Amino acid sequence: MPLDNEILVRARDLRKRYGNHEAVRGVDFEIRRGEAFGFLGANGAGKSTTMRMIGCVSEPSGGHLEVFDLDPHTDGPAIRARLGVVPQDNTLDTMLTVFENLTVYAGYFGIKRREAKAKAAELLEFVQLSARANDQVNDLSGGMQRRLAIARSLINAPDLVLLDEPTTGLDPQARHLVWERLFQLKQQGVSILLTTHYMDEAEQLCDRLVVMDEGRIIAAGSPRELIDTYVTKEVVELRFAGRHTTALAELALELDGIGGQIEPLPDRILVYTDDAEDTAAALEARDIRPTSVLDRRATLEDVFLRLTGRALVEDEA
Amino acid sequence: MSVISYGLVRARVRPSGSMLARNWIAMRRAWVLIVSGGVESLLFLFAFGFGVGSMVGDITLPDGTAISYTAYVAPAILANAAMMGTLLETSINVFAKFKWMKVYDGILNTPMRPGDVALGEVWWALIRGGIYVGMFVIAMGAFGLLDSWWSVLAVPACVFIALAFAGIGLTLATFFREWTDFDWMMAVVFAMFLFGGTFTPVEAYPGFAQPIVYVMPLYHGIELVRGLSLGAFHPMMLVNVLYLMALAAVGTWVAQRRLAKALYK
Amino acid sequence: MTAVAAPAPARLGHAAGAWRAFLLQLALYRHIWHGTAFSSVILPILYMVSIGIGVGSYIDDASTGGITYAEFIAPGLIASVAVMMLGNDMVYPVFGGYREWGGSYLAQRATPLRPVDILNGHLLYAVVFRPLTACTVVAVVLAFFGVYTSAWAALAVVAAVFVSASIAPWLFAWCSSLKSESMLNAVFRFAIMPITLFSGVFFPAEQMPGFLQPLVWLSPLWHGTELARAATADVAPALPPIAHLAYLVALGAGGWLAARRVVVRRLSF
Ligand SMILES: Nc1ncnc2c1ncn2[C@@H]1O[C@H](COP(=O)(O)OP(=O)(O)O)[C@@H](O)[C@H]1O
Ligand SMILES: [Mg+2]
Repeated sequence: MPLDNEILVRARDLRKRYGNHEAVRGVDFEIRRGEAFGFLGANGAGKSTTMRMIGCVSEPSGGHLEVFDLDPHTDGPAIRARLGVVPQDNTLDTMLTVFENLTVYAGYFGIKRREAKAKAAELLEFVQLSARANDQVNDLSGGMQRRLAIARSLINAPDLVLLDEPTTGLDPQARHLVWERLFQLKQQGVSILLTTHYMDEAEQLCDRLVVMDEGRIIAAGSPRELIDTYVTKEVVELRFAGRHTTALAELALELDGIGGQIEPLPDRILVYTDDAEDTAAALEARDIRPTSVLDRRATLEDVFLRLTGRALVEDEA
Repeated sequence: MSVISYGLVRARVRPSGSMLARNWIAMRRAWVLIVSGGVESLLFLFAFGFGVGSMVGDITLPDGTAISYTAYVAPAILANAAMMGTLLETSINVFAKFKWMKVYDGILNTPMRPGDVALGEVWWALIRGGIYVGMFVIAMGAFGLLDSWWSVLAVPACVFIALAFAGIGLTLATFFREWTDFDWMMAVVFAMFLFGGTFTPVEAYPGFAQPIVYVMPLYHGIELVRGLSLGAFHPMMLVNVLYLMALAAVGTWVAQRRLAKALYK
Repeated sequence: MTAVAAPAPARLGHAAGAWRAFLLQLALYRHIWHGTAFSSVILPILYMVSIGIGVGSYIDDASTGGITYAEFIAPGLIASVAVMMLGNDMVYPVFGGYREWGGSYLAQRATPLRPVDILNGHLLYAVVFRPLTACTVVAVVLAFFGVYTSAWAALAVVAAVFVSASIAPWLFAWCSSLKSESMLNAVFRFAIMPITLFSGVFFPAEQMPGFLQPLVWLSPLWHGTELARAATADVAPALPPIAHLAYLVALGAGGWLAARRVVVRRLSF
């Protein structure tokens, strides 16, 4: 019987070097059975590289890594037999149909054909692709391909599912559908490890997460803990018509002392505060009149901003 | 003991069977394409074996025996069919799966290892080569070119050729960067076809050219198949077999090493 | 390129349009010529050494009408270069021309060029420029094998151009209307290879079984080889030269009409 707090993945000072560029620079983390664990970080932070090392398709250049108490260097096949992997770029087999993608993949795990077919049908039902079973993969939309990749990763009833940016590039509806399925998996007690650069995704899905930046872990904890530790409860967003970037940065200096930390962004200034009304009053008192004032709860985005001084996803507007 | 070793072999080979199954499922819709590839060799047989052959009449071999030119050329074209079937499959198709479709990236997330992938591709190439060889042997029989039962041995001889070129093709697939590289591969293959002893005895070549021919893998395949289908055994056949098997082993091993290096990044 | 980007002339002459499209094809050629050097130039020479000289040494002159076997196959090799070149120029480039990954037609269509100009430009390139360069090189190299009887041999290159002209438009029409690229291989296996091997290049057509001979007469390469052999070896062709030429021209003209229909349908929007 697996213990509730059984550790599935254990990394100590894990490193990966490409040429003279170090993509992962000594990270420590532990992933326990039954939890949803997240790697949050901007592009190039080293999330995929870490995932690939855990998935035993990339040899660590240093440090210590254990998956299911096994050594990836010697027991790669045994570890991979118990993992489900959704790589960043799906890597679906475009020469096969949707259904064949599942049954053939099952074959790689040594699953018998009859069993594979039953399991494939069940998983297609789960990701709502049964109607497309005989279509070619290339005819599916991005969201459908993603769901198929998720179904494929579950074919061997894995102990741990690795999802690399499960919803990047999907439209809002497709994202919600994926989230719903992942949430369902979580409810069923499947252990999940996911990377993302979306705050809302991390907040919704992850029990615990680490924030990665330039190959290092710069913060760790539950979403709530991170917010409590690194930022205040509330955030006030101030916009000033016609003033951007440097103009805003100058203005930010005038706001000193008005709340907690002040963070100027290209199009707005963030004021971290425990009490938004106090801040509004203080603005009034200094005769600073923004064109718009928005008062909201702090999010992981703010944590990331606070820690690195820049936004996670480059402004899409 | 034997039960254990049987179990071991089974455990080593089973994963490559999954790779084979994948190719079978992926390609069964394109069977026309595969089978039509065998037609090419038949065209060469008709053009050179029968067309040109009827102008040559009989050819006198270095050992003094005379046989019809058609019977002389046919085994060489059979060897060529075995080569083309496996080489095209392992080089071009593996390249496409490896660099374009990223099929192997997906597969390596499972318990499969690069060696299983390489071996599975070899099995599949053998099947495709076997289809070409089968078509060709049937045609040879239909045109009365199989005069002794020994000639049936030409089929297993083709397995050595197929294995050798499967290994070579796999290795090439890991080295190639773009499609134009295949033009050059085909150039070398065609040069081997024209000068590997297909059409005239190598002994008739100028002296400087002979050592070059002896290096060509296809030459060894042709010698083997021709010797067997003419019922003329020779101790050199052992050398032919060893050379081809060495190429198969080295090629497959190098290929899986390079696949691992490229995919386990 | 700048010439094409110039303000759209109200009416572009057919000759000018074809010429512009031809220049665009020529620009692409700079990137690919080395890849095709083998099939266009080196391969025929290898055939000459291996089959012409090698196998030829076992063949009696009587079976080739009194000329040596090398003399017999030389003209056919020159003409068949034109056919093999079409395999390079008129299969994948045409199929890909309408698609994003090749896209040369789509790019040309974004200029004032009409579909028919694009067709003519590509034909000008594949039927005139390519055979004139490649077949000439092959013909010159083959001269060193001492296989020509007179300087009239140069006309073999002209025969090759006519062979190319008779086949190219048909290939263009066929590859323009294909939906899936899996059929492209079939063009090689069921058109280019059989035409090259069974058109009297390597052995006289009379060696073929009688019921297949009418097929040989249909082959443009057979007509071209007959013409070319008359030029290089002074052998009387099967029909009067004007008849061979007329067949090739008629075939080419029919193909051009078919190709024009397809290209207009594919590229009009
Ligand atoms: N195969 C590779 N070769 C060289 N550099 C790589 C390779 N894979 C990733 N990198 C580099 O490592 C860094 C981290 O990449 P990655 O792990 O993909 O980041 P993320 O998934 O967080 O966006 C990047 O700077 C990237 O350029
Ligand atoms: Mg990534």
